[in-house]
Amino acid sequence: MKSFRFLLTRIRVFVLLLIILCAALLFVIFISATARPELFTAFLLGGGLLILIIAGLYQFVHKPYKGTSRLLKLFAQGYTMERVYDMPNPISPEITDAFNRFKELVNTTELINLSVKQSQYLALQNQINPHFLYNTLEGIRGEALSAGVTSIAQMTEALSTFFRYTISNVDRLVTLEEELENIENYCIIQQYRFGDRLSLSVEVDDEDTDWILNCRMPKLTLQPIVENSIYHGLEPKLGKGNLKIKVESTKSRLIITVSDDGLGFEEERLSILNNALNGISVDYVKPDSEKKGGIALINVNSRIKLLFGEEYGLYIYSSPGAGTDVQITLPILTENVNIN
Amino acid sequence: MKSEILRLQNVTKVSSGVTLLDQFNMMVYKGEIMGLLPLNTHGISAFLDVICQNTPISSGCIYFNEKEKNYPGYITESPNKVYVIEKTSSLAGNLTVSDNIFVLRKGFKKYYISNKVLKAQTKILAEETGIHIDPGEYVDRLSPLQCCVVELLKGMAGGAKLFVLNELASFLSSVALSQFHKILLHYKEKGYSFIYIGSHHEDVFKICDRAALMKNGRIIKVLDKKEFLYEKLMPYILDYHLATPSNFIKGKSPLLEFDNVTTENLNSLSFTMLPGECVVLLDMNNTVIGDILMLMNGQKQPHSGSIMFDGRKFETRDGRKALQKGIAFIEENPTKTMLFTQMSYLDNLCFLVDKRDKGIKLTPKIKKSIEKEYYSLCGPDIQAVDITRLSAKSLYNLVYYRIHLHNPKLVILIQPFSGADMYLRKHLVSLIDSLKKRGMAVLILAVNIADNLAVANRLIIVQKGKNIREYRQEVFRSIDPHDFLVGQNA
Repeated sequence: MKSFRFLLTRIRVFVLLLIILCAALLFVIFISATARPELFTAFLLGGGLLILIIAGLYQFVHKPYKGTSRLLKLFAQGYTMERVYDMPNPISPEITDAFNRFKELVNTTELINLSVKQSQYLALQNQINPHFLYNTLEGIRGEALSAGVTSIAQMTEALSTFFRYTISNVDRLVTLEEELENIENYCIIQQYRFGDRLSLSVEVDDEDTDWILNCRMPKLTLQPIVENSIYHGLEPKLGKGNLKIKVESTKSRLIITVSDDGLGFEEERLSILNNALNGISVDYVKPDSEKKGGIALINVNSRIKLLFGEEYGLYIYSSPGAGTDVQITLPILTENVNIN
Repeated sequence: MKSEILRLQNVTKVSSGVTLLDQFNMMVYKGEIMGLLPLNTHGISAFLDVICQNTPISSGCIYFNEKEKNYPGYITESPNKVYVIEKTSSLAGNLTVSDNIFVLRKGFKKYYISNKVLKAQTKILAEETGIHIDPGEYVDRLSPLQCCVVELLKGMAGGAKLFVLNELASFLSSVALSQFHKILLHYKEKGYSFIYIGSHHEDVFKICDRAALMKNGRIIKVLDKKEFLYEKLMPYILDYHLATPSNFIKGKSPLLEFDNVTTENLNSLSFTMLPGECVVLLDMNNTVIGDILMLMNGQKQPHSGSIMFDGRKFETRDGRKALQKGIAFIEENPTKTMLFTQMSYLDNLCFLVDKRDKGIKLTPKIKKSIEKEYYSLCGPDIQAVDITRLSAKSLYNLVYYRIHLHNPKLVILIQPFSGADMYLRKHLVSLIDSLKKRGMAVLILAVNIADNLAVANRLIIVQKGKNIREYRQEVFRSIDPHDFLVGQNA
């Protein structure tokens, strides 16, 4: 009777006993009714009442409890986080209070800060002294221009702009236009390495281009995904590689798809990655996380989910030899917000 | 800005330990025709269940009009305003068109029904589609196209904004499909949304704005209209087209000859078939298949013209003994109509073997010998007692190997690829090829071109009961299947 330690099991047993008792009483009334017909009405009323009580128990207790139980199971399995704080039928006020306390303890702001700190840490790896870096790059650019080597000057300029964007104000929202400019800049740098092998195209919904480009999103959302596509999809691929960024919007969501026609993921790997993207994870902050692939995607996904909620984030479509599409879903935000 | 009608986000549905939908992602915008290309049938019914009935899901969320409608722990249990149009019609056959559209509608509460008003309203709706439909006509008497239109109107009258069109090409003829496509485009412009499920990319690409590829209950790729190219699909699909070489003997006298055959639906139809040849008869109007079948199984005789089979005039009485005369039939969806679930695999395999031309007595010894011979083809399934537990592939093997045992001169196949997923279609191509290799002539009666060219030596286009054009295997590569899907060339 290990399960008897749970109150629910005890409630079930006692309710069952109560129903059996009522049924037995009814049976006795029924037997008596054969001798005294005036008791037959009492039997019918009692029977009807018992059926009503059982139906009520099923409709108003059992079914909502099943829903709540399923929600708690999903929480335990890591599928959902936010929904347990807002259960349609909580078990008791104390449990609701307990969950609210739990919510305070695991305040998502802490996780957001952790995520931002991770981004800042990555930026710091290259930072050391940004002014020294910018000055040096400007110096190289000047030397290149005076020597008439414009290609080096252009590359240095792109690199300098890229560093400036990457390092500064990681904790603010930027416009989609700024993010796309950074990607174009990043691709200019990559093209010095890949030459004609790499091409980038950006497709924005024709109807509302200006409005869409003004939508806000966390800084450095696109660059890690593009970098991932280049290094894991296009670099190992023989021949030309194409990168496409497609932007669509609905009334409430901004949908950005980063597609490459590279090697693609194996089905098993894709499934693991999509499962990881389905929840919130801060595993990538752990020291051994570098051993795993797709860190950048999980990082971006976790940041989006923590900032905006579980319904936003990343999803990957991929097939070996067919390329990869990373779909990013964000809420429509037109005002700047400090994400700290 | 696009408006979202339906969104399934990371929806997983597990039933009896089987994952039917696996992180299923899909969105449908207002005024969009979204294609769904299932590479296998896994998860299709579960998908329809969750979007129509809001059945419980294990994880994820379903949104209608950008509002949460179904997620684990919260079930509204009210059906969504989604209407499914498929081969099995949901119309009441013995009621009129107007009754079906208005009276059977949920929420119709009128005590007195004015037929005059209903008919007038139906007429207005039907006129908008451009298809003539008599509001007072019984649904049983309507053509498949008219039924589809009535279902569409019924859905609209019931307030549906999203329609699921399930495998239209399997029951609408090319001409009818083309007409229905025009109607869909008209209503798309008016803001209605459609999920167009089709097994063939040619069919889906023709009409859809986007298309999602589905495999094992998961969306594996979403294609934009600009990406509707065969090359984009190649990594995902099996290529088995045009794999079969011609192996029939040219110059031999014809095995089957239709000479100006006329019936209610045939209009001086003429064609010939050589022994071992595979001919696809593409019925553009979906009218002649029934007549040809009835002619060949002795239920009908031609009003004029003649049929020659194996050098002799084919009479009605020959049709009644078709198997003895060397003609076998494989019906559409044969695993449902040609097998006996209460009989074992071996008994099914040997069914009617003793009725062959040179009949054999089915003694246990002969059955044992058949089992031994076919074990190499059918595998351990041949020993199965309960065939209901076998896979679709194994059941198709059973149907086709039974034909091997009958060893007819001509096999008539009706829509052999209907309802089969991509993997099964590839297997069916090899099964039909095996019939050809055994020297049997194969006549395929089809309403859409689908995968039939993969096995055919010749394609005959029949429109309004008449043979209007023929293509030989050598020119198949130059044929654009779209032309036949919409009947533009016909």
